[in-house]
Amino acid sequence: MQYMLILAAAPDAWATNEPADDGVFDDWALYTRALHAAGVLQAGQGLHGNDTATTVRVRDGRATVTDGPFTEAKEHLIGYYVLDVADLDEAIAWASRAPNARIGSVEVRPVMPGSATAEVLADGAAD
Amino acid sequence: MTAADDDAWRDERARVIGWLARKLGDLALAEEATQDALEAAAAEFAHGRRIERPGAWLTTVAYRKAVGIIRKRRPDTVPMSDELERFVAGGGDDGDPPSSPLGDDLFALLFACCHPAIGHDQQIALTLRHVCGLSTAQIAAVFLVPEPTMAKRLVRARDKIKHAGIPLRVPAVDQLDDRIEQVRTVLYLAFTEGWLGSAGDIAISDELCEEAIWLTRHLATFDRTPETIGLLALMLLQHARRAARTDDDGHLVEFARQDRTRWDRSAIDEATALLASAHDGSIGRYRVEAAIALLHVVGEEPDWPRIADLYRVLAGVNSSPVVGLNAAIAVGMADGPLAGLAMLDQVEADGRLTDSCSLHVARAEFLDRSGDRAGALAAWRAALTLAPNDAYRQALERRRPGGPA
Repeated sequence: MQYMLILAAAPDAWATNEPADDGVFDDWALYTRALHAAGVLQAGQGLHGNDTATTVRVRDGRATVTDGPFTEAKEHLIGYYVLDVADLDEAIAWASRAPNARIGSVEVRPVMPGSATAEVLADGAAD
Repeated sequence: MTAADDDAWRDERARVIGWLARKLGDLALAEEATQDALEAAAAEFAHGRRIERPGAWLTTVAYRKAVGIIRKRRPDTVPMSDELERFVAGGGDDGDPPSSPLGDDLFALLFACCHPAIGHDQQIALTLRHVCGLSTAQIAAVFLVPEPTMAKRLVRARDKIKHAGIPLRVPAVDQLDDRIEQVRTVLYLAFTEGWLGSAGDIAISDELCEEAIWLTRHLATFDRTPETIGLLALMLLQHARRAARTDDDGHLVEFARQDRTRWDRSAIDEATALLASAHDGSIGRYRVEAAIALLHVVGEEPDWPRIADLYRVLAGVNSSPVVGLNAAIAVGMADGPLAGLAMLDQVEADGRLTDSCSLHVARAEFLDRSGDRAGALAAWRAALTLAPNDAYRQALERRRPGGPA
């Protein structure tokens, strides 16, 4: 089953990040390599900070463009992974080791099976 | 059918649902097929026929019902997984299931229903519905919501299990302690709901307590730690007093005035034996609460000094304000009303316990004992306004400080 790990953390929370014996990786590169070595990594990317975000909405035929993220949450979106694992427990186990888990949050969301994107990209590759 | 038969069917029902849910990947379908099979069993009994081996019978019939439902509903265009194909291949009106439920199918179902990814209210609802077999209507009554609301809640919870991939299996060893703790919480809440009877329906309340005890017994075969055994003992000790809680007119009787001959002695004896074996040097809240409950029922009068000591220990592992309140009551009984009143003031100052009827009842009692009749009356009136239900209010009205008005 595929899960997206949605990584969030408040920007000033990193100041309190002390290494601890809790299974959490202290380094994104090491975490990513561990996911790959376990054969579960499908995709992943870091995102530039909230200050670089732009939100687009179209209402009544008019597009409004505003500065900032779509939600005013205290924790900011910082990146994502897509993992392919056996079940939710395995996804949770990996989520609990993400470097932001100790000072932020990791949302674990199941990815819908079947993907128009995958089909379209596969068709494109065949051309 | 005897009570032992009832228990056998209850066990097999939960085991078969767990087994089917794992094989089909669909808890709702497993529930439906098993329910159909149980109705067929009821028809057999109605015709005076006995079923010699409930487990084998229910497995086979539920399996055939499941295959029937799948074949009727599944459009040919929707692909079945290879595993599911193989599972239903042997089915039909007289097919035999390709496997049988295992001992851990009941626990797989229980742990899945109590998975931390499921909201707390839904954990209890799922457990009561699928492991215990209560109807949606009964569970709705417990939670004081309309039946369609509860039905929707259950659907959402089952969807979460399916779409989020919550596994139907006993958790891995390194997760087990936490997950067992989660299950204990759910079972304790179910029992407490039954005991407090906020639904106001004695039948459902008693059934809840009995289901909670039945499941905790199962958990205790799986996990023999003092906390799980302590939880079972705690439930047995409270449930033992069930028949004495109300008098023949249906009025609530306070503990001190209960007819002890109505207490279930065999349940108390069983709890005593369980607690005697449940030691490993650790201090857990259920184990301590059970020890406190035991001290209430042995001997002529509760041993208040020892109870007060145990509440001090309990406060170390459970800082809930209710524990503080009960500790204050024990101290008041052990060391005199003024000591009790001082502690009650602390509990109130803590601020977390608002609108607590019990706090005012305790204050009224201790003010009365200390000779402050006017203060006792004022506290009693405050308690009356906060009574959680009619039965409780009526019982309180009969305990006016200084006698009837």
